[in-house]
Amino acid sequence: MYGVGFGIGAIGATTKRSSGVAIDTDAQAFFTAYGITDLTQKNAVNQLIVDLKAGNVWSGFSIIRPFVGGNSTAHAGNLKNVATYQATFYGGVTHDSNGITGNGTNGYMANNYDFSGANKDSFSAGFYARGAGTNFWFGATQISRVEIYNEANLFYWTVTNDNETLLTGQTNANKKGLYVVDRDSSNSKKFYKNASVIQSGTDVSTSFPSTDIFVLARSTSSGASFYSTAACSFFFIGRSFNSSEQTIINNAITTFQTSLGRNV
Amino acid sequence: MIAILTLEQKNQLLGLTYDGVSFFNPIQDRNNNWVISQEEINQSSLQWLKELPLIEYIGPVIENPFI
Repeated sequence: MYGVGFGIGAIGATTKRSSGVAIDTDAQAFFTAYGITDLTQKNAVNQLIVDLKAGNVWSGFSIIRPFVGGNSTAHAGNLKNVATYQATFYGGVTHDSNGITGNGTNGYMANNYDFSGANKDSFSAGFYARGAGTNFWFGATQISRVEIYNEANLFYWTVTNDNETLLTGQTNANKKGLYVVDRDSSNSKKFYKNASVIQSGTDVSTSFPSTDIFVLARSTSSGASFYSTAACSFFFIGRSFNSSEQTIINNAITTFQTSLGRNV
Repeated sequence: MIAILTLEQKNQLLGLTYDGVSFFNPIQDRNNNWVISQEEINQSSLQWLKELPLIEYIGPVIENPFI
């Protein structure tokens, strides 16, 4: 696996790290754009990209927010493409080495995302939760919805339709890890936790929301509301990923978080 | 915790960043006061903000987000 990873990394390599492993060009672009200088963070981000490319899922993402750097400037960055979808923070969002945390009062992140190039029948969004936080972990809820809403011992979730699905029996103590809402066809959607399906649905995709996807709140035409107290160490938007791809992504993100000492 | 703002103070903060990147987000509490969060105040260099008294936040009456 190391040899394959090294080979993939070498395709777009620029300089070599002190360990002799090549730095991926997308990783270097991110480091340069957002001032990432810490070697541990750089190694973790580089390996994340190597793993996602080796797993043939890298191209399926539109937004990847690894939340490294510990400050709002770096956390606003899009690892997938530093030239697109820079995030904007509003209100009381706390930034630290674990990522971002909402204050449940007025803090949230806008993705500034444009749905126009996306496919309503193949769409996903993922949120790496550090523990239960009330209200919307992320949400766009106008005309159609893409969301995860957390309440004590349950979730509401959906993707590209206006019917939220209730999932009960989810204790707050266990709400840690990578949660993904995935629309995999016009009449199928899935809710994943750490690459395992925890619920599925058959309601039909209708359209995309007419508002941006906010993180730590929901967005409607009136703006942000239902601000969350959640803590997030990773967020992404992309196409639908099948079961094998979910495992690849979850493993890559787990390795990433572990390298940073913040795996949950 | 939050601090209550006058209308003029709220308007002063609109469009401003508190750390050069993140925007202030004044909102209204249950009594329709304009308020700003302690997190924003702590990260801001505006001295007049830091002098505002902090109180517990009482948000709007919770509505069902799925109506």
